[in-house]
Amino acid sequence: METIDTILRRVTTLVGIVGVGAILALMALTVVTVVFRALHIAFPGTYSLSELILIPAVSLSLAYAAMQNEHTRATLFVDLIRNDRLRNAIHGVMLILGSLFWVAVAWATIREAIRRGAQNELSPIINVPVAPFRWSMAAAIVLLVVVLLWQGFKLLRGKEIGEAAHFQDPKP
Amino acid sequence: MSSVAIGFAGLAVVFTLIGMGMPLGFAMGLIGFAGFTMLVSFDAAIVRIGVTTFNLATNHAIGTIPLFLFMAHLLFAAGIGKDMYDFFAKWMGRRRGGLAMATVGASAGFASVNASSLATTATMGLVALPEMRKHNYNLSLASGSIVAGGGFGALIPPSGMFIIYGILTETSIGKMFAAGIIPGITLAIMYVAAIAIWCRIDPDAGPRGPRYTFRDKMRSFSKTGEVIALFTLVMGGIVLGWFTPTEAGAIGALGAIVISVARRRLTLASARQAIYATLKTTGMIFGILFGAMVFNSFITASTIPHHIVGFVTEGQFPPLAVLLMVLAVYFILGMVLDASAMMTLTVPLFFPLITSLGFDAILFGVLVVRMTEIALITPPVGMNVFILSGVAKDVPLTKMFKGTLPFVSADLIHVALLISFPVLVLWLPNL
Amino acid sequence: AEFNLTYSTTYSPTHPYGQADEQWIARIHEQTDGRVNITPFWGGALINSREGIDELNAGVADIAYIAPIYASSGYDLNRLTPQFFYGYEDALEVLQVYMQLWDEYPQFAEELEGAQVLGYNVGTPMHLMLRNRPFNQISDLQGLRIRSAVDFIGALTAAGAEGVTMPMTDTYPSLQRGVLDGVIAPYEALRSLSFAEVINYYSELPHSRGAYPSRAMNAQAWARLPEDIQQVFLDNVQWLTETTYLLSQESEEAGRAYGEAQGVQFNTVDEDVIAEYSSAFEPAARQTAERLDAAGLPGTEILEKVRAEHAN
Ligand code: NA
Ligand code: NA
Repeated sequence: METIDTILRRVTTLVGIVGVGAILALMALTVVTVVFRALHIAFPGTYSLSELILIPAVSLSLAYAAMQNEHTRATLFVDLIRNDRLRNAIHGVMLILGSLFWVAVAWATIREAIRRGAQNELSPIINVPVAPFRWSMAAAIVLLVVVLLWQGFKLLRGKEIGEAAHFQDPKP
Repeated sequence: MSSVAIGFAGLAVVFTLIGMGMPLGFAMGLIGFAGFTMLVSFDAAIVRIGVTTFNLATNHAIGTIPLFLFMAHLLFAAGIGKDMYDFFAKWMGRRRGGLAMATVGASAGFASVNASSLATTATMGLVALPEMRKHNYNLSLASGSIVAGGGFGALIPPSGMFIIYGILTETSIGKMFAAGIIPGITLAIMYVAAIAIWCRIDPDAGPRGPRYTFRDKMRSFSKTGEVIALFTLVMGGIVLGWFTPTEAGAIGALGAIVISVARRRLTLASARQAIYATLKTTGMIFGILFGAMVFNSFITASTIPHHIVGFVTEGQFPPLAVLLMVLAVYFILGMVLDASAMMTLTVPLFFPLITSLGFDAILFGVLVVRMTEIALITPPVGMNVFILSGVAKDVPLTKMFKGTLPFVSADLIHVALLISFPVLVLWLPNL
Repeated sequence: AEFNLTYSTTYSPTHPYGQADEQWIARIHEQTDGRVNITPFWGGALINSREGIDELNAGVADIAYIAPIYASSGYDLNRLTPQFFYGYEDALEVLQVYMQLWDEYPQFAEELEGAQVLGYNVGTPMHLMLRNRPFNQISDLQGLRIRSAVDFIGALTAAGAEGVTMPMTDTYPSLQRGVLDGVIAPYEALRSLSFAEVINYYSELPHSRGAYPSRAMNAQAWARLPEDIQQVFLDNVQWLTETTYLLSQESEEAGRAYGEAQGVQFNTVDEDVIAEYSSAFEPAARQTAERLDAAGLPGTEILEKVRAEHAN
């Protein structure tokens, strides 16, 4: 158990860094576009590029939030359950069941990544291959599934996963 | 089972799962996927889910949300949001519910620099909610004023919803923008009134703050410099054509960094905290959006909306009755569908009917956008509420939905007002 | 009805494509004696991806408006050959040439993975809409920022302008505030996208859009239909294609009239200038043709045919 926790913590750090990089890149790209525009320097690939950067920004943030155990849930009814074990078990089952949705998303994403990759899908204007970005999304969603299953498993075993603090924000 | 029956069964299961504590987006996505599989096929569901999620992950308009979130987290980290609310507290804090009223006003102001309700809600949620909590505001009142205020994003130009309506119905986008202004102002007044009434009934909901001297009040102006500078930069840049409203998030975030670094308000540590918080809240919000989009596909395919629309369009009702029924349909569909899904699904069906009955296309557009904004705050699927709960995780959803009730009432009165006095909508665009 | 089919389109019934669909749906119902009922989903409610073919082939809807020209990959002939029609000013001519190509090269149909094509669209030519001054010569484009389809960016760049592929929802506010100096769009957009409110000049510099298969039925849905009903659909292919074109043309004229009423200044462009501008499309078209050749498709062959027909 400890090992898996450690591995996930390391992966979290990595995902966090890449995801943060994507969001900062998105901001930088927009700012550069606006500045270039003011200077009358043509930069026609902006929209294509920002669409590409959005893919890891969004999908890695999904995985990161899950690793931080940050899900938006309605706990009104489950909080009425006084028995900790039962409440945790229901929580665990819900995470495992809910992860099925992300299994479907991962499947769909991988399928598209393979098919479009074979067709040499290129981002318009900048002609950058889209495949790596599709794969980054697939990897992030698979990671999300793994995290959900692990959290669900721990809850079923009666272990707390902590309120949004199971994995700390990566320290420098 | 018929499509409609599957649709209703799916709705029932979704709410059961949500009630049992499954994360919102997961429940909507899972049942959306399973339902679509039952209605069409597994293959179709996989392809649909792949296209929907990838479109969402590359959607430029929605993609601005992380940057608006980043801006808001920076404002929070640098204490700029706090200063703004100190200012509000000094000037309006003596009035019961004054900070909630200020939140409504600030949301309306923020709506003039971005085109999206979700971005408005997320930003104001990060800035306003902690401050109202600190001043012991009732959580329902505080969150209600934020999620309702989020609706200004689509009503006060620039507005993505007006552009979509304009394109769907070939109505003048310029006139739609002009038409949103007076309804936006009147709505703000009604929200303020709703807050005042709430605080009259329950004085503890928005407690009076301490009294400040005139000198204190004047001094608090000096602390609003950062916010004013940032707002001027973003608003000015849009008006002068330096950048688009969707680019405003990035400029705002950079502006927040520059201003707070220049004023020595931001440390490297707090900046790092802000960006990681952005990543986390982005993930939570997109987790819900992914699920909601897939769920929309399922509800659409269930033909439930088609049947409801068919009932209204095929019955021979008098014009005003039809209009009211159409709005009622929006209210009901709005409970479970996302705003933009509702718009694209039903406007093409209702628009010819409504205009053939002699109603003005612009008036109908404003009413539809009003209804889609109400949809964002009505239970059980209310995206603005979900977004706020994404950035304020510890506030229970039920408290938030309870807080929307007075605002939804104000909304309905406001819609009645617009129908009774169309001049409120049509005066500016027809100038 | 005996056969209930779903039809998905990203357009709404106010758009000429949607109007054609409504008439077509009624016609099919009537000509099959009520045995076929088609339920339309407008505005991208059911299939909202720009090309729609993948989802049609997976059976998300039985029938769909498709636009292989917007696909990000795959359907190479359908997607890329519209580029070859640069310089064409008459949409009907484009349609004629294109339909000959479809007859001649079965590869076009094969790319659609068995989907049965029920109608074709030809894009009416787009022109140049500008905020500040009309376009008369190539040098007028120098330094301008123009919202454009990907295919036109090369030519804009060659003329010293900057092509921007901004989403449609951003375009109006950008033209309004001067983030953009202009947009390449058809007359119809003056009204339907409200561009007449935010531009002042409409210069008739043609940007041909080529043609494409635009409505198709999922292969399994098609196979389930008895032959006599299939025949009704087949008998209406030409009708749907023509009606779509005629309604588009009407809408173009209405768009122009609306623009005139709004005070938009229209100007024609000198033939020599059009020819010079169009020649900038050639290198990209050649490149595309060679890429198709390399993939074993008759790229250069089709390019030559399209160009030869234009020279006639
Ligand atoms: Na707005
Ligand atoms: Na709702």
